Amino acid sequence: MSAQAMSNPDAGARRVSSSIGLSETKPIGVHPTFLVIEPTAGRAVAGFGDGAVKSLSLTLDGALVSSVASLSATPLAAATDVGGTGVLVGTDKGELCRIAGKDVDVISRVPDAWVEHVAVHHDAARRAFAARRTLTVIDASGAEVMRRDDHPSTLSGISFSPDGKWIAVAHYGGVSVWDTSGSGADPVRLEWHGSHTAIGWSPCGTFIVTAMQDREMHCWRWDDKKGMRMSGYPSKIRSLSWTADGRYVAASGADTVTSWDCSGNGPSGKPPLEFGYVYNGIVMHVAAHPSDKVVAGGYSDGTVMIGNIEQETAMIARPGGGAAIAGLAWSPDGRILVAADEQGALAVMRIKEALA
Amino acid sequence: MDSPKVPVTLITGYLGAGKTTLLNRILTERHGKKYAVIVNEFGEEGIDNELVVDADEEIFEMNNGCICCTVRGDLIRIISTLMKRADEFDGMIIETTGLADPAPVVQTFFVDEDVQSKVALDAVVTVVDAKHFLSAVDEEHELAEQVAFADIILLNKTDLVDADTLSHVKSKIHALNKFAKVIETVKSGAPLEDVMERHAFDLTRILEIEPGLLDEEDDHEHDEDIISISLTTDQPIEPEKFSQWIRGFIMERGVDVLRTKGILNLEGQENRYVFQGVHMVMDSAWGAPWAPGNRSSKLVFIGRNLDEGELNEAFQACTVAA
Repeated sequence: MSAQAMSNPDAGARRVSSSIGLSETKPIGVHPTFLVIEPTAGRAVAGFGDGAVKSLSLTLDGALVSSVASLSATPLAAATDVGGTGVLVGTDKGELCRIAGKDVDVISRVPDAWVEHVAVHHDAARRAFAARRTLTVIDASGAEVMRRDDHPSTLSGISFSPDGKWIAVAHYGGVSVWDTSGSGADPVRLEWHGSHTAIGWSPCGTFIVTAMQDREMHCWRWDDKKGMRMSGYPSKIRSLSWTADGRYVAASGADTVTSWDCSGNGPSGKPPLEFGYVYNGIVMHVAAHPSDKVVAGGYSDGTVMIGNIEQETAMIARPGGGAAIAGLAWSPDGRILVAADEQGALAVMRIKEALA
Repeated sequence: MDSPKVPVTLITGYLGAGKTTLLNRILTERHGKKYAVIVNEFGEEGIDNELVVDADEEIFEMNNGCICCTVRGDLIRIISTLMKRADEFDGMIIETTGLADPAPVVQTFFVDEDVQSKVALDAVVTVVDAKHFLSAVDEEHELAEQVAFADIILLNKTDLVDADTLSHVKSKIHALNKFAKVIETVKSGAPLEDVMERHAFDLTRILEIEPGLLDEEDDHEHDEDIISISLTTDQPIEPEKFSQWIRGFIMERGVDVLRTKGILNLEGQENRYVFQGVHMVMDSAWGAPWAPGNRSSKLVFIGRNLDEGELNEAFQACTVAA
């Protein structure tokens, strides 16, 4: 990969782009554990290492935070519930909780385990969570559709197929793909040696991509199961995100935001597109825009960049110089980006002009 | 923003050696410290701590070209998550299963960036059952490896053996690992300061590699599978020669080399050059400056099928004078 200078270590480049309206809260010294958007409530919801769950208004100006709940367990992962109302939260006491307004209900449970991954398919009305080796899928009413634990290791990621008919889970040695109807059929196993730590099914349904402990990504074409490797990263890849059209998959792990072109036969033989070089920074999180070929990158020094993948250009949405970014989330209309850093500061970045 | 890294103590040892007893002693002593405990199996003895995480041991191979590079996936996940909790831990203690290979645990602290950024391995503490050690060590290779990896060895249950047996056990331990500090105990009753916060893996603090208390003249039992070797020279080392040799040696023999440690007097350098390794994974740093007139390089290997004479010859060939 080659790095392309988009900003310099000097102070001039630390200025927020005039296209962005940034407001943020003060750091509180507590690590956030999840950050999601609850569209129907017009809020971002964040969980913290002390059990606190807080909301950040997307409709009011500034960065207005209010307390939602204080959990007796540590929240570990979350997803917006079916239809964009309510938030599903997995905890270190084996619970899957549903938070609606300020109410918290435990809706499912795996004893003696941490619920580390949660995913929702809105159209198929399926909710899934992973705890240890167990994948559980429940329907909109909370009834269990499937629960399977025949995986080779603790699960490290969940992703539904775009049509909701399949659910893919990452683990050591590859990916298992189950059908979500509860038929009890054996899974499709996609094998690749090594530890897979994150997963994303492309929105067009063609590819399943994983991030690996080995500083690379792996990509399978779903129709013929052909595998491809994307390597060359200087650091562990913690986060990956597909553009809405399914053409690009963006990843963390380098000093720029890298995006692989998965059109045609996939990313093989094509170098990634890059934007947003940050001196001494590593991209920790990426989040693709909900409609455009635009990605947000959160860096180890607290910088947030928003960039155009194809033009390989970026603007600074939040200046660096603080704690690493721990989470990023877009509002469904793509007008607001929310970020959380490791010291618990929440930043709201309102986009004033069209991005693409 | 760099806060001091949380020290992690690894307690290993064979089934019934007294690991949990040691763990509970550490936890219940009046030190006012708060620990997170990670265990891979619950024994009969309960663990007296607020936060105990029970996890399956998950050994993951890396695809980085070194065949013996494995990490513990469970520890990467758990440590990363624990560090997000609001509790301020003074330390973490990992108790392995009796059959655990310490290498993947130690390598996790060398390899994973998230683990490295928040915590640091403090020491490997191996609890040895004086009564059963001699009969078990030749049968169970894990036992020998746990001793070979140790920075501190609790030679436990010494009240259950006679003086003769104890002396045999000590010389066997010494043959496997003559660099570890051996503490004789009953009911794992070691002073806390001898076990915790030892900084055994902190390169910046390593000033000297001490051989054990026994003398070196004891005849090597040549049927030993694992042995420990130390090499020294007063001649300054030429960095290129040394680097080329050690890389080649570790590439070729890394599977057999369990632990490596070195303090080098590099030609023209005022500071010690310190390095350590586990199998093929290496880590190095500049250490403290040398005292005038007392610059001697030392290199230590613990591993299988090592030829001391051959290694010494290769090491001496890395000096400026050679």
